[in-house]
Amino acid sequence: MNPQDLPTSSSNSPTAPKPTSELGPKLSRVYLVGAPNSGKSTLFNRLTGRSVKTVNYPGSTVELNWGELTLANSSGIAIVDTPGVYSLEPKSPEEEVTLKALKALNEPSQTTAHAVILVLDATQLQRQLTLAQQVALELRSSATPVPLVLAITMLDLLDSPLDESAKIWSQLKLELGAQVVLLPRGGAESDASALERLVQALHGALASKENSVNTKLNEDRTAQVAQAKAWTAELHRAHSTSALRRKTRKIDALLLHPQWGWVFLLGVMTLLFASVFWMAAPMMDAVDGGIGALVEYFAAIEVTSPVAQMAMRFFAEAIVAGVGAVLVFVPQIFILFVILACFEDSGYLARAASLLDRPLRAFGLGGRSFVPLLSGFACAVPAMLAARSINSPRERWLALFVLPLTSCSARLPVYALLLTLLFGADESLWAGLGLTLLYLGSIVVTLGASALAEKWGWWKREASFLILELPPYRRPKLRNLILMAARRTQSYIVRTGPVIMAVSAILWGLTQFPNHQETDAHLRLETSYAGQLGQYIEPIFEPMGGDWRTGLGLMTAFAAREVFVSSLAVIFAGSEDLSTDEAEGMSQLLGKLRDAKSDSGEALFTLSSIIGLILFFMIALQCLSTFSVSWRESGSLKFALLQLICFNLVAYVVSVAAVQGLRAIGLP
Amino acid sequence: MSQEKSPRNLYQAWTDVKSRRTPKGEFQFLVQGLGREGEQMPSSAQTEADQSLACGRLLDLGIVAGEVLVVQLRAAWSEPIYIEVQGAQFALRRTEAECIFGRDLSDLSTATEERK
Repeated sequence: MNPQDLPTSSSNSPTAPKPTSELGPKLSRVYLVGAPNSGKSTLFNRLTGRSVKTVNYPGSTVELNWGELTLANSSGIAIVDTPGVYSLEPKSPEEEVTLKALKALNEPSQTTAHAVILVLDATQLQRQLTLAQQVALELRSSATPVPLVLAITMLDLLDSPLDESAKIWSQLKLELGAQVVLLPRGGAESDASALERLVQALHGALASKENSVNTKLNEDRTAQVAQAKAWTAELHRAHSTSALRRKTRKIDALLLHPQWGWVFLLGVMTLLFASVFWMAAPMMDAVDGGIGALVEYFAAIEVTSPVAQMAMRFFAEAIVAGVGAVLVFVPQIFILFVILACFEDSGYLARAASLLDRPLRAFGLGGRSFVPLLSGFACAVPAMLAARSINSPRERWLALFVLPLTSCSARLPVYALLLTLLFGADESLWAGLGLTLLYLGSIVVTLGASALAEKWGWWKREASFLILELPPYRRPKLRNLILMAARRTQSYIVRTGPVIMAVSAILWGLTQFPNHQETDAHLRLETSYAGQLGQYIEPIFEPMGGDWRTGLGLMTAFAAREVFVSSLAVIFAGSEDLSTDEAEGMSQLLGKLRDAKSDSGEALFTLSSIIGLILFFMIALQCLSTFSVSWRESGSLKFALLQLICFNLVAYVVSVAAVQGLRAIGLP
Repeated sequence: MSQEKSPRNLYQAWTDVKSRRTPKGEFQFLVQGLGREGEQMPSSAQTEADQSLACGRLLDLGIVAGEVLVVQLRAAWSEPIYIEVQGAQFALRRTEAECIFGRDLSDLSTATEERK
């Protein structure tokens, strides 16, 4: 398997952006180019009806995404979203992606008409017009004419309205040879008419055969800055952003305060992790109740044929109970995504990254590593892609190396189950605090591993910089937050659902056969294929405080971490139901796990064995997608294998040491 | 009568102004150039490599001679240094602030007033 062939988009949804490898040669390509955070991805979504992630943080797009233009009956036009650039001299891997795409337009082999939409933020016009000159110069040198269209965004953030009559637009049209389209945000109607104008301009540009860039444009960078200043001099006097800056400064006075800034940062991080447990409780109860009712419904159906009975049990135990055991935790994952989206949308992410730059440097990382690390709490796969925005190769490698250690959402169902087992279902306050501690522990482990890897790693220290743009604050819109979180949750379910279902089905078969007619559930499980396999693996997992059943659960978790929960549900569904006949859903599973005994008659899930399992999951790399993306992003199989072996070995040793250590001091 | 100071880097100006004023404030800094042409600073080869890369990015952001930066005095430690250029705000490391040399305008205005 070639790592380049692996899917990178985290969603299979029809609205997800497509990888550029699917771009046909007959489609006209329109590249959306611009500075970071200028609104390219938002425009891409509006033009194509697709859903790339849009956040108020510079550098959120790290690869090319495309979708077909769906507006005004357009066909045959592919809109390509590119990572943001400050200039055409790239200083990080994701900026190189954009430059390569622009250079490809210059190839003489291009037979289809292509164009570039340069997205310019009206509040940053002076600075971004330097980039506009560079893009115009780059397109001027192409073998076939590549027309340029300027799309002006963020007009609503100016103190006073700016319309088409301003002199600067005609000046830009003349000097840059570009059509100019203003995209004001003033409700759906205004949006639609502005987009229609942009599409018309695009059609006109694609039909033109001439390159009309002013040949007098200067290639000297300092002269370009002066030219941009001259173009915008009048504009800045009349259309400043002082109100926006005043508001941002006021908020920054608190959030970037030398002391209060830290209190706020630690406060929101604690709230982020703790609230995942507390806020999700009612929704989890509802899902659990629904799944329990479904299981009861299937159990109540009376069938006489043995095959139909077996099919009914398969459906209830493998599919509904197995998949349901993970579905119960979806509300927690959804809430985690809502809070992360709130962070991303507000403009606070860049501030937090700037505050954390210095402490992170002590561990070989930097402020730019913060966003990939934070994204790692949702999923390591997009987090590894986000690491492309780190300009220093060494820092990027370090971030890639330690990212699998951040507590991703796949660990959440496992932690939630084990913490509930530890504290009891009614102690959500303690479980919430326990989860916060686990997340803090995961941060300590991640940073510790980074410091060790930096000390012993083979990465050479290379030049790096922070220079981080802090976008203005924006009030996150609840609808956007919920939509963004819903898309990510849907993507999570689509990605992991089939794996969980397949593993649950296989495992159920292994726990039922060959003695499927045996009426004693315990005996049936002991003599099943799974039971026989378990005898071989038990010696490995015994020092961790487990038996063959937890061992089997841990092995299946290499398909996806959360499969551990569904596997326990399937395996223990086949064991004797001792005292929880009336319980349903998750409560039933918890009851069975609490009552589970090892061969020697001792409780299986004790304080030490639960802590051992938590530590194992905290460190182990059990996610094949993460392994594949790590291989692709690092460009080194050796690197990915090192992660896989190192983290799993350390996880096992730490888990065994913890269990044996706790037992040595007399804890159960 | 105070003499007009020779160009110095932004970090030096920042520490100097910070020692004299409340950390809530800000000052303006007139950029006279990028690079290490200001006062000589002891540095490692690594710092020089970092600064060379940073200079390129600062130029991308439109920080050229004649540009006036608004510099915030607050910082968690001795960095990051928050600056505003052309209406946009950026966070800089100390080594990056040392790449920008020029004058803080409060000094210029004081010197001009004293000459009058």
